[in-house]
Amino acid sequence: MKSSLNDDVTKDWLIKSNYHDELDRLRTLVDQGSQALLTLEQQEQKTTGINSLKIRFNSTHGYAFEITKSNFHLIPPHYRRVQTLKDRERFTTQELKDLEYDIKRAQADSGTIEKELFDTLCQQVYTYIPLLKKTATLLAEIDAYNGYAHAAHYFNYTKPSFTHTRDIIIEQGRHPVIENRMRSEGNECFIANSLTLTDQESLWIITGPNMGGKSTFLRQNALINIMAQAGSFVPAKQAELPLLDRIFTRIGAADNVARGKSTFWVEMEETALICNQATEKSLVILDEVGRGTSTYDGLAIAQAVLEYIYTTIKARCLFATHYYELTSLAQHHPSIATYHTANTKGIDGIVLLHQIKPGRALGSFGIDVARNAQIPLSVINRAQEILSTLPTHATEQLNALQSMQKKPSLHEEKYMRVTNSIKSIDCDNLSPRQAFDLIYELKKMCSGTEHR
Amino acid sequence: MTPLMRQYDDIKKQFPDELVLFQVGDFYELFYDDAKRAAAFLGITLTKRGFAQGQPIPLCGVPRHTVDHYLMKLVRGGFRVVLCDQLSQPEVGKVVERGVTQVLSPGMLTDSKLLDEKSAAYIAIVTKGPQSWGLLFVEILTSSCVATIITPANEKLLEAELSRFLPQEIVISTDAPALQRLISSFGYVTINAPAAEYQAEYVQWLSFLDAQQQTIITRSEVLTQATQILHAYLSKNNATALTTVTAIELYIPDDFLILDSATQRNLEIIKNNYDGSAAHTLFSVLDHATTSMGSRTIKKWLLRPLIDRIALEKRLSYVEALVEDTAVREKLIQHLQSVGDIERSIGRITLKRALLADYLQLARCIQTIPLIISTVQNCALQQLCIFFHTTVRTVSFTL
Repeated sequence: MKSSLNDDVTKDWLIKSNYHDELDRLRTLVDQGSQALLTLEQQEQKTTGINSLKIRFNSTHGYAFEITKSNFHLIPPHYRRVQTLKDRERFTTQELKDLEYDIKRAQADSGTIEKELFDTLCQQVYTYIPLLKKTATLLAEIDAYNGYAHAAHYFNYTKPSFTHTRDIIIEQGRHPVIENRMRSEGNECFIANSLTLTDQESLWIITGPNMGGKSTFLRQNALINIMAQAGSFVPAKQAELPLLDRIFTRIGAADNVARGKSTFWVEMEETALICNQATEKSLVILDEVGRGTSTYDGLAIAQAVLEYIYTTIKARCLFATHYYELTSLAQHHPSIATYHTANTKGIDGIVLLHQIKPGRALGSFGIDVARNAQIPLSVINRAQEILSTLPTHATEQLNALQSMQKKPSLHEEKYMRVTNSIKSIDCDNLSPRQAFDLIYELKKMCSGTEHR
Repeated sequence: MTPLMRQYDDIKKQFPDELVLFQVGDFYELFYDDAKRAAAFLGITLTKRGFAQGQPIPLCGVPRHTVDHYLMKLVRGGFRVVLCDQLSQPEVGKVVERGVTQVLSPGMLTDSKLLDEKSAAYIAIVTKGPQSWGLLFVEILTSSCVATIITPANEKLLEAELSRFLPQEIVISTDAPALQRLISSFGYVTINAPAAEYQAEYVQWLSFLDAQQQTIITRSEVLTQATQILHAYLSKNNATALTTVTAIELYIPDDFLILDSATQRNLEIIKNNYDGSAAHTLFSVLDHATTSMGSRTIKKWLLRPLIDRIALEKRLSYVEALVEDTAVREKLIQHLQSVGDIERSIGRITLKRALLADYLQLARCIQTIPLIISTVQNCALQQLCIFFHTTVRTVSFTL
């Protein structure tokens, strides 16, 4: 295939050479003209004896001989003055005029031919537009498939299969974005977690401390379903998915002050949308519904919403909550299952394992997380004290709290830190090496003056 | 008043809401309030020239050869810009003829220097009836136009549907101020349009559509209004684009997996929640396309996931074929690099705004297609290429 279009960026042409005979002939004329100008320049330098004589081009006067003041006495009589500058003048002759005319005409003619050829081409291309549009769409799709495949290959994704049931079975699923970020930062591996939402376990209530991986787990399952229905491979070992009609997520919203709406209002609006729009073919993901209001209101709303989704809508649902009271719903409804994010107690508080396991969490570990976030120990200990005076169920009175009596000194703070560490030692599960490290650690705590 | 200012006033009257950039020799100049707004936004000097009704005329200007840079800033900043060029050669004693050559707004861009290459630029039109919303989306560069009706007229459902397209601008009739406030509160750029009205040209334009599409549109009050507004808006701002819209695809939201706008935000599918960019989003993880048109396709697929089993299984089978064969994938990347963003080049050709570079791109693309066909000849993607044979046969004689 031979294209007529000029692809030589150094040439100011539309049509390339060797395509149109007349165009080539005219371009040769233009080139020859330029050559002839050079010859004429040399010839005139000789005949006049002015070595500095130059041919210049200017858009209003065309080509002219330029001669400096010092050589004015050598100017031949047949030279006609066309332009006077500060220290030089420009002249023309009949011979130069004729040459200029030939060059300009050849340029104009080649321009006309080029434009005609180009316009014809454009018109022809224009008739193929429907064909070209479809071609472009297909090429874009091929590129998109290739892009998907590239991601699937390098990130080790798997091909999802679509079942004819409503079951969502994801084995060893991962969060695509967090996994990528961890990989690029060179951190430890992302902890994969499985999900089985079936008729036997259609709604999962997930409890566990903040930062324990609940939110990540909720989001990754929504993302995996979206990726699959967008035609991509998914980050999991295996995925059997239904064709969902809607996905709803209600995940801790920020205040929308700009629109004059409170957190709680936004939360309730979004929850209302879910209750009105979700179907049994939907996936509903709820994270901490009812957090924006008082404990009792929140608990009541959360339980009512959960029951509605379970019994009336019958949508597949993941429900993460702080309200441990809700886990007792599993005893009344056969297809509600409870799961929690696993963790273990370490020497200095809690270690979050980011694993989702069956059963309910043993407490919220809020205070442990607070300690990990380095809240002053006096605050932590005071919180522990308050917690121990509280009844185990939130349904009992909260307002019988004693006020804090005195502010502990920094010395007491250090003392509490050391005794807390000693209290938390699990002597039976300590290797000699760990015990040795611990002694150093305790010694450092006693002598250190700086606050951690 | 000088003849130049009289000419300016005539044009400015037609575009009261836009910034009018008026070519004066080697500069584009802005006057009056336009000058004040542009000078403040662009950080350029505001000066005065001449008098109107005893008051000095505020003026600012930008050089013609750097105008693209300023246009990009203005359009990205949410301004709509009218370019008014000199149409005749300057002659002594005569006022140069001037006319509007382009109206630029975020949804109207065609120039590759001004466009965000990884996002489709949609113009949306929203109308409200007693029980429903009428929605129409048009992408100028691909002349694709889709429309839908949403019932009930719930604000959340409207917001969800808009966020499946993320339109650059939303045109709303001036007689619906409440709707305009609502759409602005969603965070979109809104544009005033005259109220929908019956016009002979509209009826003629509609008659070119497929009969079934016509019936659905004429039976629905909200879609009739939406198409009337579209017709008037394009007639005024880009008449060529209007002639390229020859089909309006009607869909119902349930044809796709529905993600409400809170879900799209929460899951950070296209934009993240801290700076609104694509960093650390699902799109950024999956977008390994070679060309910008490939990236736009992936974005479209993520915003509008399917519910059709057969179509999905087809998509997955193509991906599967490529996952298994790294050699084919690498070769495709190489070929797609020479194809480039041909979709937008063809868009510019359709709108008669193409440059030589667009035709050269097309020629390169047509030369590359046979290589793509032979690269995938032994895999599932072969099916997609059957159509290409016609293209190559027909078009290669021309270029």
